[in-house]
Amino acid sequence: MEDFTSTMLNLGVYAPIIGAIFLAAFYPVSNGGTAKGIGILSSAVSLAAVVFLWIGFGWWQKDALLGFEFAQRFELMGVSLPLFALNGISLPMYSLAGIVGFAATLWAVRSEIEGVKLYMILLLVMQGGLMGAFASTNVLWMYAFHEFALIPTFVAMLLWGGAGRKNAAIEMAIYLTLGALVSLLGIVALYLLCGNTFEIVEMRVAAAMGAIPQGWQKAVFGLLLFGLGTLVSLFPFYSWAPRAYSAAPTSFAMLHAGVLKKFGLYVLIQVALPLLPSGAKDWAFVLACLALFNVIYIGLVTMAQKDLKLMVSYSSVSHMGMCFLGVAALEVLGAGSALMLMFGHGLSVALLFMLSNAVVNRTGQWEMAKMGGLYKKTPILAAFFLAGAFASAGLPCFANFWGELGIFVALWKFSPYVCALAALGIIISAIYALRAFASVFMGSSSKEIESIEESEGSISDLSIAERLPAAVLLAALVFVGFFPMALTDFMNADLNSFAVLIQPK
Amino acid sequence: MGNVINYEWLSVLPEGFLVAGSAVLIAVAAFARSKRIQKIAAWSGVFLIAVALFIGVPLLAGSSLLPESAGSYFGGTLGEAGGFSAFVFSCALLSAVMAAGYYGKDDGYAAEFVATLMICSAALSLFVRSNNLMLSFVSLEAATICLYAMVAWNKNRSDSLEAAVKYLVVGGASGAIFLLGVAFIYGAGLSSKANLLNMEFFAAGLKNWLFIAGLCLVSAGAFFKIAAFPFQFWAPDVYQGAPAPASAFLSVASKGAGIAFLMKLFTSLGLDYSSDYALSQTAVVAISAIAIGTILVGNLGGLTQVNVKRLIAFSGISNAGYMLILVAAAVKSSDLVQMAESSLYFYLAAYMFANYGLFFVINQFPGDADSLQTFSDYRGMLKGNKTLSSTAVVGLASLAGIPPTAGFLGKVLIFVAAVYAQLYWLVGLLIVGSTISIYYYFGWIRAICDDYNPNESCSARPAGRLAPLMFGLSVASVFFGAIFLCKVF
Repeated sequence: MEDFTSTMLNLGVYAPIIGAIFLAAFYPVSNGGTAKGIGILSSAVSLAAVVFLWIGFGWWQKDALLGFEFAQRFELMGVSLPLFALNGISLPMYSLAGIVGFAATLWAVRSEIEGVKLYMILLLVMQGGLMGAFASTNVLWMYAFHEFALIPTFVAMLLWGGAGRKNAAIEMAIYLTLGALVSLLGIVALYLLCGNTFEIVEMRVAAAMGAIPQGWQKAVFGLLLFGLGTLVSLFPFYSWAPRAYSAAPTSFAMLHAGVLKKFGLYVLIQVALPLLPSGAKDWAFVLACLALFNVIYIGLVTMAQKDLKLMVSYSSVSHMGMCFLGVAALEVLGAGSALMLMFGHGLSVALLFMLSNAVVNRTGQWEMAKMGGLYKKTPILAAFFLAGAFASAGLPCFANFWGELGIFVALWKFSPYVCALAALGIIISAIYALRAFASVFMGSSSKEIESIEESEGSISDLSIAERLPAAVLLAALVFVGFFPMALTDFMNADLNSFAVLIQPK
Repeated sequence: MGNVINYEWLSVLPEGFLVAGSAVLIAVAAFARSKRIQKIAAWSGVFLIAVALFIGVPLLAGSSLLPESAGSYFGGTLGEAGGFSAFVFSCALLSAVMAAGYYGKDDGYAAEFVATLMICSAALSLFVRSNNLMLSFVSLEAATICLYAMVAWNKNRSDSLEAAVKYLVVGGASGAIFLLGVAFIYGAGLSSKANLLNMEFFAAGLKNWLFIAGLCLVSAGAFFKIAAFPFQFWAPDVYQGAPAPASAFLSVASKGAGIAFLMKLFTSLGLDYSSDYALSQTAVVAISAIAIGTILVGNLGGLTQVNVKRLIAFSGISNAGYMLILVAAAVKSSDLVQMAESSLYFYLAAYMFANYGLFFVINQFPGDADSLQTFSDYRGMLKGNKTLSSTAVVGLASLAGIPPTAGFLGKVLIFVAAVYAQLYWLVGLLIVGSTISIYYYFGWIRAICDDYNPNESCSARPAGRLAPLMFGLSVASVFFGAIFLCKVF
């Protein structure tokens, strides 16, 4: 059984990559239909692995390695492949990558793209990189798998992106590389301090024995915070994100905003907090202040957006501030709730990107003010969008609710003032989410929409093929919303195991 | 004491083989001028380089043919053949294949070009193997003279000739500076032994100011070769004007030789062991200053380039700066010498795969325009030519250091060495430089992925018979990086 579970874990990572290599190798002969088929098949294999491992987590394998399960090294022609394993922290992220990746592939299949084979290859490479980043137990491999996703996003943005894509793509590449290199410096410092190892388990053992002195903790945590913070669009390094997301093709925006961006926070929680507890304490206040800028300032900026896709993009930047606040609370509850919110937000922002694309395709409009009254014409689209907006605003029944609730409880202990300010963010996010819904779907049809209906016939509702990916995302959101223990039980076990480290004396 | 030196001629087998082979090629090509024979001669040159690379070097590296006891040959003037010879012969092989195609179409003296390349690579290999400064100088000059000819090969094109004149002046000056340094070191009279110029005695000379002046001059000569700041100004013009196979060889093999020589020279000093802490600090600061200047000049200069060969020249300058970080780390901390040397060879190999991939792409553009190619010629190439585009994208990603390419692991190794040696300023500069470089590397990718092609006529030729080679270089970039990432960490 152990063999089988670790095979599934590896399959989840390699299936999309193998699919992409297969498509690339038979590039000239395969046509669009087969490319789509192979794309769906490979990401469905990933999703199946996710479901299987989620159900089986903590069940089959009792003797886990410091909380990491399914660890087994595989070899390919004498070279040992990177070691993959999951713990309660990486399981939600690994699952998120599988679910959003599958939904993004499904969405790509129905949209009419020129050059669908290359699109599929890039999408699969990106998904494989993400699955690998969250499954790796080696910090350098985490980093490598994450960066691996950069080139596909860049190329896809240039080939299929929207307005302003050329500058947005370069801007994104520069910011992400800078952030990645700064965090790489921190990672390399950890490597040398922990006795020449990148394996996270060995690093934790070394750190527990006091391998990282006080002064280094502060410096390395600072490097990781700003490096990884840039990847997560922490204020003031956020300007690349909204432009990139609104210019990226939908499937890539879903994967990037939903999953890739969470990587920085994930590494902070998985690597930085347990290894550098006193460094985290030194930076917590700075982090909380910056995160409040994300929540409130970017929240206000989001309210001012007129363009639907830009609004969703800015809202994702703003929500990342809430996750950072959870990390800054330096507590098991805060870190766990940040993970929960990352999971919920990944699904809800992917859903919103997808649905806004559907809206824009139907109305030919970006500006929310020029839409209206879509509710009567496309009730199902409206229902999905409303669910996504509710989830994003943190209403109960959705996974985001548990994340935000936990973050507030943890923040109250950290500082009631910060908590009160952060609560403003909830109000702001409810305003912009609901206002967007109201101006797009409620009211009476605008002149522009009527003129489209006159020229191109009536606006159609979501087709079955479009409903499917939306339903996948919404189902996961609601499942965790009603049954948060499915994730929190595992998280607790692992976060508690290094809680001693998180709160230094 | 007898003056009998056991020459162990076998130890120069690959180099000797190449020089002899090139003599035969030149003779054949001089008497039989038919195109057919020219072509056959050029491809047999390619074959001879492959023999030297795949049979000669492994034979010597195993060294079962040579006396076990000898650590160095020719009375201690020559070190063992190993990684560097393999590297320089690989470059020669790739350049030769490119040249055989480049000059194969018309009467471009392809056979002679390949023959010159063979002599040049043999000389560069001896340059780095040599333990003796005089032998280094002679080998370096031999290689440089071959490079003069190779740069000027397009003798009907003014930019090729202009490049050659520039390279001649710079090469002559740097050779003279190098030789002056050798004379100073000889004048410092380090030892009573016969081989005054052997690097193994250099640690003894560190108290002698004449010796140190000589060392500075010799290094300056090598800094010219690798186009390090402030000796970098010639590189863009020369790379632009020279024919693609020559530019490629110049930018990879000649640069690699200079860096490997510097590494060997400075680690032979044993500065870290010496009691003179101040001197070792000064050396680290001097190398770091040159590295910082090189990284900044290379990257800032690259920002404004649209001509692809000039871009590669600036990228090469900044890469020389990154590699100098390894030299500085090895000088600062003697535990790192082994690690820094192997990292340097890894970095060079990664650089070779990436740069040759790009030069093959440049070479596939129609005919004689390769010194004038700009980003706008590449616009929309992805739609028209998948092989060339993917080769270029992988090569650029590797230069930019994106995983899983070899360039990424090369940068990680530099990070590790520099942080270990506590060269934090240099790491900072490496981060700044790499971030700046994203703009021009990705700018090229952006042109390739552009959705419209304004000038259809300028689009690249199909990759044709070179497609497997170009594909192989991309695969090598990716797998070399991924496999070593698995193995090292």
